[in-house]
Amino acid sequence: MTEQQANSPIDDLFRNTLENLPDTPAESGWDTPSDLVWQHVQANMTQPRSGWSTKSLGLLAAILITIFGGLYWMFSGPVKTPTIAPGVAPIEQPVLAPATPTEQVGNQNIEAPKTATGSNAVKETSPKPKPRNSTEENQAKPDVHGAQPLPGSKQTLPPNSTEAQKKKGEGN
Amino acid sequence: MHQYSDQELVSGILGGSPEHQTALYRQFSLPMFRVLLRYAKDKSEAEDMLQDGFVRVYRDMIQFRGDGALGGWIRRIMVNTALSHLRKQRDFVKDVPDFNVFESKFHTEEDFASNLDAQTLLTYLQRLPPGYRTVFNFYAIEGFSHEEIAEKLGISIGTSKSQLFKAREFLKKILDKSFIS
Repeated sequence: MTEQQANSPIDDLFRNTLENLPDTPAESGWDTPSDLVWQHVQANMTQPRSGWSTKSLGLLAAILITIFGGLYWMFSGPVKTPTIAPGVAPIEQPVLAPATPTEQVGNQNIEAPKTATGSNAVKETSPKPKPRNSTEENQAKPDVHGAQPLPGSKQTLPPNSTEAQKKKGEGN
Repeated sequence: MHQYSDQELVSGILGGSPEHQTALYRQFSLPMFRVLLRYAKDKSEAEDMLQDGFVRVYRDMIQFRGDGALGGWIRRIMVNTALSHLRKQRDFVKDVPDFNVFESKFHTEEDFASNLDAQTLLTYLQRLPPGYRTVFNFYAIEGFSHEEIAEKLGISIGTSKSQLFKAREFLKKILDKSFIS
């Protein structure tokens, strides 16, 4: 329709004849559709799309049920407590608390070397941080790779250890 | 039968009124069926197109904005439905190999028999191959340009012109034969 059309007499004949038909259907019925058409249209007719369709409403309901069900399960479900089998002692977890100076001194059980006068050379007023790789620390560590004493055997100390020297001093 | 206005029909159908649905069909089935008879090869195919077209009309009624006449909107849906049906046919826009260009003896409308009624012309139109028939309908009756036809059918402008030329020659040949006989 944008260009000037070059109509032929054939075009005019068909257009004028087919576009100017009377409002009433032909008696022969050539231009009347069968009644089955309307029946099929009614059978296939769906409600016009206005607003929410049944499908979208169902989908929305399913999403809401999932969300609220999940929230209910999260916040109102039974609290699970760890069950301990009968006869099995619970494993005590070591409590790591800052050690007080008295506890530290008492637990150390190591005396400072005495001077000739018999008094301690160093008076400790406050706990000092232990040096890394000290002998005490090494002694406190279990010797995983070393040989383990047999049950009932006498514990022997290494010859140059602090404990051995202390025992020597006591013996003297 | 009560004649509803466009607005009454649209409102009633959107409200789900069966009375308005029936009234719309009664009001528009005849003119739309006549349009579809030009695109179809026979009455049965036109009825299939009409059925699908009205299902689309009821389904998409919400999209009618009332800018133009309801009949024009329904007609566009019907033509598009016819086009969808024709596209399902494989290579519906193609040349007919044994087509012979006929040198028509008649060149003006007055030369043709004045007693050719619509049903006879429609029968001639339905004898055309689907591609010829569609392009002829679009150009000669609907008033589309070759550019618009090419876009609608997914063909080149040259193909549209060629199909129109051959359709006209085909119709001239049929009309001449009808005169001779």
